[in-house]
Amino acid sequence: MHMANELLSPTVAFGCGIIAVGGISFAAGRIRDMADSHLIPLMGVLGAFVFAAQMVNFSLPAIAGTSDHLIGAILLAVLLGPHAALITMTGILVVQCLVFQDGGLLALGANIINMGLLPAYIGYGLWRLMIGQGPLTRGKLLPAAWTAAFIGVCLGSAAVCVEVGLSGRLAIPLAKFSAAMIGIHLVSGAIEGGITCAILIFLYKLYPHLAGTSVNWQEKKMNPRSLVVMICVLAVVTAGSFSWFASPYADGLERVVSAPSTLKPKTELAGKIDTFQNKFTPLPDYNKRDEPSQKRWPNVNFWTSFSGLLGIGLTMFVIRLGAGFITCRQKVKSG
Amino acid sequence: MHHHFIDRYAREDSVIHRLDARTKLLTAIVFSAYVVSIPRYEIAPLVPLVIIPFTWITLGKIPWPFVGKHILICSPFILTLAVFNPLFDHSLQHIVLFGSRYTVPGGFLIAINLLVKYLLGITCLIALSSTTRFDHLLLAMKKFRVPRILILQMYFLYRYLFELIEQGHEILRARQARDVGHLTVARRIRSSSGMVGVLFIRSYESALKVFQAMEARLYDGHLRTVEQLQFTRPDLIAFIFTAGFLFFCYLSNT
Repeated sequence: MHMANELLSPTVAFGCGIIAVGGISFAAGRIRDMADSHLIPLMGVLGAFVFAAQMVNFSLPAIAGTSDHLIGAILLAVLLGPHAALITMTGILVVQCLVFQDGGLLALGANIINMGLLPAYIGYGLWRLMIGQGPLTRGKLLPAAWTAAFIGVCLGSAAVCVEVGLSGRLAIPLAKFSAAMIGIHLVSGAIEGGITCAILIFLYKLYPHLAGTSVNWQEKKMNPRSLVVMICVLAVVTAGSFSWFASPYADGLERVVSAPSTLKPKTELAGKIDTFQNKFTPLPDYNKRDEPSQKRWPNVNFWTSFSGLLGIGLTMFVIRLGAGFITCRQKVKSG
Repeated sequence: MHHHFIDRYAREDSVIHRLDARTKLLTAIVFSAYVVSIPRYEIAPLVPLVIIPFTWITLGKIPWPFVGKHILICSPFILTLAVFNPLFDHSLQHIVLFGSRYTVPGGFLIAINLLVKYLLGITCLIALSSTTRFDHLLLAMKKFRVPRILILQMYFLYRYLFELIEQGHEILRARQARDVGHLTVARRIRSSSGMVGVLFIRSYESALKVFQAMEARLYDGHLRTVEQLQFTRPDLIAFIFTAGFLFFCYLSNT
């Protein structure tokens, strides 16, 4: 998944670089207190371990002629926590770029986002959500580790598509590139999930006290604030970029409804409400007013992203208001 | 830590080796940024840029077969992407070659543009890594205010990396000695997960031992080196030459 310089435009490369630098400074700030502890050698050796694992390319079953390698961010996030995992992945990517020429110097920011930031934080959040609280059992570990690794890899590959699409350096249509890229990484994510599970189960069985050194699997609780931040990031990424890849065609319900003679003619009141809605909706069909909805795919459009983000903001605001109202009523009743 | 293939030429002595690591790192970044900024149908502006990595590699006395081998190892992904471009872009573009005007499909131009940019980027990185020791690169990053924890992590990663690879080879050799090529694929996969686990535990234990030894020698989480980086006159000349050359290329293109 290592991207080369040639696939990115300078703007996208620098934009990704700024996001990556922000993420690294945040993570470095969070683990500064632990810098002198035993976490450092563990980060170093795990970094070397994942580095070596990334050098082993496995050929993908069912897709002849393609191969991929382990990314390992989820493994690191589970063993070290997301902040140390991001720093470790960054170290791996910098060494790969500067010493082994794998991945471009300018594409380093994009690579850190795709293989470090997204899988480490979002994958780790999923892992925490799925293992829940209470003692960690084998039954909880396996599905949680597999899902987190799978989603982490798929998110990273989707981010590659977004970055390449925004850069416009390839002649290959983005839809085809995305289909190939994400398709391959669905398989590769499944394999990554399997490898992550195998290593974690091995450690869980044979080396349980590893859990007691820097990572306390049993007692660590998910911070509610970080959970909220994680879900917000996932929502913003989905709304802001994945919305371009939504199919331009009607969904099942719309298609059924739009077919002639499916519905009875509208009543007069319903007709008036429709006209009113059409007149005053600010962003009809997630697009700017008076701008025809385009049937091309992916529909890279500022207004689609803006509509998605605005939608999330408004939904969260409405839910917050509703929740406030309900709690207020409960307090009044109980008081 | 020293590896015979990776940093084989990083400890040699030449004009380029004696330059400050900061100069080389900054030059590589500026050069890559300029290469990437060239539009996708343009090839002519890329050609004169070959001079910079060529000078760097020649003055650094790095053998060309070594450079060629590295380029080939890293090329499969970009080659695959480049090959597919002519299939999708059929727009016609006009180019001028030796005074005559030709019309060629845009996809070919994009493919050549991608490959030339790849060659320039990778030769620049090979030149950087083969003329600069990794600990000097880390010192340069320290001067550029990279977070201490990231530098320490890279230092430890590099320290353990080759040891880990050697341990991995040992485990693989042990399995080959036992199965003599008769192991079924299913058993091979099952034993691989155990091997990876053993490799991890071995390296983790050795890392802890090294760390305890470092703590016993008063390690306090700071990286200290006897050698210090010095920005001298040759650095200034090298940087001005590169920046001036790139600026000249930029002016001649516009």
